[in-house]
Amino acid sequence: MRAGLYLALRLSLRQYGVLLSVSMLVPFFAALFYLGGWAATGGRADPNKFLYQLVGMVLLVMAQSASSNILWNIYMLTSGGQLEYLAASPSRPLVVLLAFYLVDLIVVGLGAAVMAAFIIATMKGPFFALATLFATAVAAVTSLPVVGLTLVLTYFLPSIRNPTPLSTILSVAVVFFGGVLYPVTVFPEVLQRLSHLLPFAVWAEFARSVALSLQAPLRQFGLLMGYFAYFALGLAVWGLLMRRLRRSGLHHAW
Amino acid sequence: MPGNLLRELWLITRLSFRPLSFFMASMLSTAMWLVVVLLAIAWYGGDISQTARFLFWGTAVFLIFSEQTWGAAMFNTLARTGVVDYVVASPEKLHAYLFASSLAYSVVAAPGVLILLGIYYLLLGELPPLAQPVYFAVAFVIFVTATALLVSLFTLLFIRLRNPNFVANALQWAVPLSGGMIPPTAMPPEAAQFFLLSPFHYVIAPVVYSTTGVWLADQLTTLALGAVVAVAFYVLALYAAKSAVGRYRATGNWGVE
Repeated sequence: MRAGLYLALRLSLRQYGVLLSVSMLVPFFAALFYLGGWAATGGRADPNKFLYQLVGMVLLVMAQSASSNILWNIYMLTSGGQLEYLAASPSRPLVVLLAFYLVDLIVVGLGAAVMAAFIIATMKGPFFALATLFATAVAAVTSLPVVGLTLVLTYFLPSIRNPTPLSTILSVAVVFFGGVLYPVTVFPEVLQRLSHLLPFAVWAEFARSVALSLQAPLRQFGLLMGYFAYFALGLAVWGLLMRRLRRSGLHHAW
Repeated sequence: MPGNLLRELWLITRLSFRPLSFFMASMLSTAMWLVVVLLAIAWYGGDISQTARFLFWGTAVFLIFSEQTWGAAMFNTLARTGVVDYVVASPEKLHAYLFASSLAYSVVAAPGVLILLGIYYLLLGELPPLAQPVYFAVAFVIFVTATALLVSLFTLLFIRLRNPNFVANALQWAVPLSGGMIPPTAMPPEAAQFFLLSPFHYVIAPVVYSTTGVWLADQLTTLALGAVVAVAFYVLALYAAKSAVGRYRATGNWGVE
């Protein structure tokens, strides 16, 4: 893990400017949606919905790290041939990937959370800033089911050879079904059920309850723990993938 | 000339669909992202379906324009790898080639619009409104022609930039938003009046107005002004392409190399 953290941190520090600019996009897009809502409703937009979307944007950034970024990191390791070295070294590839994810969360997720916390503090009071930062930490821990779903998809990477189709579909699915920028109750019944089969909506709702209502609903916590089955499934599929790569000897010749 | 245009259209469209799985994944995700944006804005309204109805065609317009803009941003690579040199060496005029390629990217956006329609139907159980079909057809032709010409101009700007992504991103939002992608008729009147000053309003907003049936100004005048703006974009594209070719012949490069 330490080796993975070192590698990830060194890579992140090389592009910290780009990564920090992502934090600026959080209030920018939330404000853009508010402005769109203001324009589309003849000037009657609810500021509470702005806060909902502001926290949603932080969760969106974290979800992108848990989905798209992990897929691209795996691609980076495989296309460069590093995966073979990692598989043969004492550092296990999955641990290195999780270290990358952790650094991603600290650099990008924390930056986004601080930006959001500052705005929420000015609108609702300083206590809510602490609640937002705490909610971000909770969301980071409970995002493992999303990571699990990403690991399941990595099984298809050797045959697809390029993560673009997988990452684009997964990252938009997280946002579309995740109730990140609007509650899933706006969907018809069928889509709401589909949304609850996936781990995103409950994850986002739980973190948002902590940040904006200072509550941690127990029922959602139970559901959230249930979704950890996705993480277990992801670990199992990752194990299968590594065994398949070891047997074929084709770690990087994609 | 129309034959050449059609040949370029066919070649670029065929190229854009490859590989099909990537293309479909990209279109599906773009359409889903736009539905996310549409719902995120419509959620501010009391009746989400009513607001979504107003916003849908603006979203479709954005999808087409975005596809055209990113297609233009790709010319940066084509200039760097020498493909644009071949275009200049061929009997084809540069402005015609750029116009054809922008039109082709509008065609490429068509599956995305269909997916957008499908998701809208899935969410609301109905198709989006089309209050004035004849005006819609006229407005749509003006929109596609004018934006294809405008994007030809953007292409000539992009091939002078080392990395056009930031500018392309800004333009893909600035033009549709200032053109009435979110219908100005739904805005407070004092904000809506500003749109009358934007030339983009006359080529973008009529598509949205004709679907809702509510116009900011007189319908025929707005459409006529849209046609005038399209002609102005043609003149500008022709002039810019001639200048770019002249500069290329004098200096031997496009600016990005």
